[in-house]
Amino acid sequence: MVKKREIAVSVNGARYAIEVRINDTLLDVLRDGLGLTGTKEGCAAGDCGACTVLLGGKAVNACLVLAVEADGAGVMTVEGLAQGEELDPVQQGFVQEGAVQCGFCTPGMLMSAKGLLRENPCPTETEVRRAIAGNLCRCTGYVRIVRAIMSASASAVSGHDLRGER
Amino acid sequence: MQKYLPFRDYFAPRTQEEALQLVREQGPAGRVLAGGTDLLIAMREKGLHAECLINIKRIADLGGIGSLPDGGLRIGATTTLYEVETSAAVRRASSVLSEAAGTIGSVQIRNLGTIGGNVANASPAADTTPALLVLDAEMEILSASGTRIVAAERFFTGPGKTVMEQGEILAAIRIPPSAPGTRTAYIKFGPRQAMDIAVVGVAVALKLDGDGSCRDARVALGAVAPTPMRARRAEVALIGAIDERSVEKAAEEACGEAKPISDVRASGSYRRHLVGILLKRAVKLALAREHAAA
Repeated sequence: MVKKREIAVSVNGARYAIEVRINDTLLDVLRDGLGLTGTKEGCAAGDCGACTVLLGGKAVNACLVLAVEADGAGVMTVEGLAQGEELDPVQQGFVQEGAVQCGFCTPGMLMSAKGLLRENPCPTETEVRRAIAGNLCRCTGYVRIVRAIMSASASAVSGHDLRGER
Repeated sequence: MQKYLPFRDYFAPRTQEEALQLVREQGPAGRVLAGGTDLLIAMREKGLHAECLINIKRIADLGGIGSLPDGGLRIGATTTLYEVETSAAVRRASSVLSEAAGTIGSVQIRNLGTIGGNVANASPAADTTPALLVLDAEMEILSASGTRIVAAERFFTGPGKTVMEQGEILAAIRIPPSAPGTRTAYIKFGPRQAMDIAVVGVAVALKLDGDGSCRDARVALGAVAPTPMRARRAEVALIGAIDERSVEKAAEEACGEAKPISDVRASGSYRRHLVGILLKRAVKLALAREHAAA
């Protein structure tokens, strides 16, 4: 008999009280429990970063977090980036720069980028590369991904300025 | 679908007392969870067996960075590696520890993994442990009978083994204030710049006099012995005027002191060679730095 617990989590702003098995990972619950399949499972060992989500605002590997550990916390997945039809600046950056090839690493890349830009809105290229060091892209499209994140940081700033001018 | 994690019970105590009671009750069947970046993988892939996980991350007293009455730093065991890397207090008082923490895994791993987990896991190749040795850090170990303090150098007894006994929990790491004029550096060598385990890690702390001569030195090596180790003969060689000859001598001594094994990452002889190279680089890097701590 696998033990279960009820946990309270906020995912992309929506609150859930869900029953999970104690040995489910956060990744299991996001994908299979909540149907949020944007978050990918690659290596299931913390190496590839495909399962990156923000937990309490910090980028983490969802495959290395037990769902019960997330009790009481806020989670943001790739599905939480866009506001309705409006893409998040990091998503906009990936579109503009053509930073997507097969797309499997993209959700994790986006969330690592989001985690970086939350703390450091204007990173250097070195800081961007360091922030995605735990995200593997096997299409090896890193140059465009780095460019996309850099452009997202700039566009975040100019977007802010535009709103200010209106 | 990832492999099922084979444990039967999970606890998230809120107080140290509850946690101590749980580790006593569970005995060897219980494992402390303080991040999970090693533990969950060991359970999933390496057959590590645990009946029960005791998550200590919710215990307020085991987290956070504070100062000690002697001016030293107390880093709670559940402080994440990312916090250790980026905390202004840690960078100021013990930048070599921030530097070492920043070389571990990825941002995602450092946001989950904790300093206490990295230390208690006792990997011979851990990055924070050589830094802790050169800082003369002490481990604060909690049990039902109170707190005991163990010097970092005596804490590790073998790969994955420490002096901690059943029923004990690593509560914090204490770092004494460093002497004015102390310069430090940690250099990790691995084939990749991130997401890699150290082939060799070298930490140095040099206490310099006003005239630039070295009054006291600490050299610690990672991944070249069953535990992180001080290279005492290398330290002696660094005392006095630091010049090319003394650094060369220290490198030679450190190579001799290292006891590396051959494994998938490197041969023993390559590791020994690296110890000398990295020691020279680490001394050079430390000397080039301004001393930040007051």
